[in-house]
Amino acid sequence: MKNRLNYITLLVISTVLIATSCYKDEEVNKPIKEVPLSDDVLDQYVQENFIDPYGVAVRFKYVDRYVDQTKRVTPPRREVVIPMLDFLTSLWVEPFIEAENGDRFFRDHVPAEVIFIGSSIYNDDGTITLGTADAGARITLTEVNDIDLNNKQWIIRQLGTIYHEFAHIMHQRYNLPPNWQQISPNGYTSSGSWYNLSDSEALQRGFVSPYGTSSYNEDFAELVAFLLFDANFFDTYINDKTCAPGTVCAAENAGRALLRRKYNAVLSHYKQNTGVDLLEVRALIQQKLQ
Amino acid sequence: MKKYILQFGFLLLVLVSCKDDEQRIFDKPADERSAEAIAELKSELTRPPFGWKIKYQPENETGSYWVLLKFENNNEVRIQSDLPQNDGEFFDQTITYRIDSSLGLELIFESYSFFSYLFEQEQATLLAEYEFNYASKTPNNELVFVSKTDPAPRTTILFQEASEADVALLGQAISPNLQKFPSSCRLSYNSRNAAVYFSLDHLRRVAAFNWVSLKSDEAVGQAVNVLTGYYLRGDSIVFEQPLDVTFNGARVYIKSLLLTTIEETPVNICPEPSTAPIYNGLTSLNEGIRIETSLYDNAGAAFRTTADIYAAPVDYMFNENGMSMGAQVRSDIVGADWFLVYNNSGGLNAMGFLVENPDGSTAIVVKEYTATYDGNVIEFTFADDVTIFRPLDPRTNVANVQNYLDLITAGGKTYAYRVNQYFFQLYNPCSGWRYYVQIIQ
Repeated sequence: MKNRLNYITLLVISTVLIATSCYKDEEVNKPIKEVPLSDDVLDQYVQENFIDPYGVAVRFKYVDRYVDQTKRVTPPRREVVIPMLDFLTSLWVEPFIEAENGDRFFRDHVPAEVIFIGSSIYNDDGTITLGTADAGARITLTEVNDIDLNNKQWIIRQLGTIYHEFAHIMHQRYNLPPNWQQISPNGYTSSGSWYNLSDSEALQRGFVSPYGTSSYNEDFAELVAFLLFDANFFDTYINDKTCAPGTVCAAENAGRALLRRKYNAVLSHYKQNTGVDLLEVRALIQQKLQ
Repeated sequence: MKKYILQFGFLLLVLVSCKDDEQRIFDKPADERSAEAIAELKSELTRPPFGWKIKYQPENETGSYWVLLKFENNNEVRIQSDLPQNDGEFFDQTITYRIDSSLGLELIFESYSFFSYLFEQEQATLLAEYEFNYASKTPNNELVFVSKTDPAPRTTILFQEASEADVALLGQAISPNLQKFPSSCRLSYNSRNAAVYFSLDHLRRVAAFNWVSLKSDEAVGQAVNVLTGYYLRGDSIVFEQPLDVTFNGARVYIKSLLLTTIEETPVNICPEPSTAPIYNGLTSLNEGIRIETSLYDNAGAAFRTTADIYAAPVDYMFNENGMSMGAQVRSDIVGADWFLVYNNSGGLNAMGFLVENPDGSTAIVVKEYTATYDGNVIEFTFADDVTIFRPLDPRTNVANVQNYLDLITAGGKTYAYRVNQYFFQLYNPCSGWRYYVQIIQ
């Protein structure tokens, strides 16, 4: 027995020696690499207006890993970068930080990266994609080369993407509002089929858009986005219309009843968790959009 | 005994395990080697005092562009070309570039430029590129790059050291003038009775010679079929493949055309009087010529018989300034995806749009027509009412369909041109609009 113990002891010691004997004395306190400041005026503008105050890196120089490799896009024009940054400042940053409790909320929740893409996203099948969903970790804005602050459609498309992606952060941090999944449980569509719905059909189901029916999270993000950018939000989605029974109009009113519950849940969720009143943010945005 | 052998074995392992027998394959860490490789390529790119010249061919089936590139240490690159689009924006542009190290060294033009403009054309299917993989350096100190984004075979681009005089390669003076020749061209010899008909695809830089005739009578001629890439060199158009035929007992040979003076002449083919350009010049055999716009295109006459259906995305509809009007069409006729021409397809003659409804289903909204043909000239007469096949979303503004039919038939005549084996172009000289349509087999 004693011999057996000696043998096991020797075996353990040998194994430990073998396992540790090849580690060199490595230096773990290596100096952090210094990244020289860019001479590029656009880099400096991003640094001063987004990285330094909010920690947001705005990527305007093309890097292919930011885009699905099966898609084709073009880089932004240099001359649109500052107007785009100012557009973001005016209609995204300022409305949030000017609202009560909004400054802290924005700094704590803003995604680390915003990507500018010059063109639409061209797909292999000849179609184009206008925006991308990065689940709140990153906001990718397409068609920035088409910036036209007199083009309402372009503005709404950009704001829809920004507010939608920014809303994803909320449910990632604080989950969805209580009982969110129970408000319109039968309205959600099966995977990849949301685009078969019309706007009216989505409304009848209690959603602001067909895309909102694709999941609980997208439903939440779409509602927040529409609430912020859509000047006609209340008339379209909240306030009932006078309808004859059995009509499409009446079915849409049924959807509006569901949307009122979601709307109240969203407002309450933001207020309770962050102290931000989304209606105040909406008012600031709409004031700028007038 | 067995136990002692095992113990000895472990002891031996302990003793040998500390031997430092690592063999470094590289003498420097990967980061350092990568940085050195990047610096070395950057040093090469910035070395020539007048930069580099490339004869850039986006893909095998297109012509080429001379491009001058002057790389600077501050990561800026000056790009000069003779692409006249966007009011000469790409004649002289400075953007930033980057050299990355991934599987190899990559050169990326990281802002919108000449390269990304071409990349984006035709729904990003032109196969141009703005990301290049560095391949090698030739014995003549030329740099070889290969497209990073092309499907195989990938375009190879040769960077040749430029001289101060190479700026004369750029056809910046003639390229905007050539844009004024929007359709088929007629080249006539000053000193003999011969004329050549050809078309130019300004973006792809492809020329199609299709007819040689008497200057005095276009009907007395012979068909030719030369499809060739071309490029501009100073004040000349140079064809990769020359036109070389015998007509009326004399050789007609055109390898290049030196364009000297341009003038405008009045034309009266539309209700509103207008002018058309005339370019004077010399062929490569030093024969005096003049080039004028021509609505005649021998190959275009085949539009009548080539296909029962022609179709193309609405992005292939261009206005008088050469701008794609796809977005405008979609705005005016919500859901309009494709422009369609039914050419006696099952007895149907009709023109209009394929429209996608909000629920994803599709409908066809057309106006039926009767047509008379004279060569490549078509006169359409449309029915009063729109014809709709399959259920259409009632919110679709079908009244706007007529607006786009009017634009391609303004003044009463539409002209068909053969672009290549896949496409025809319908052109209206009065509106200046043109619709490219693909042959549907």
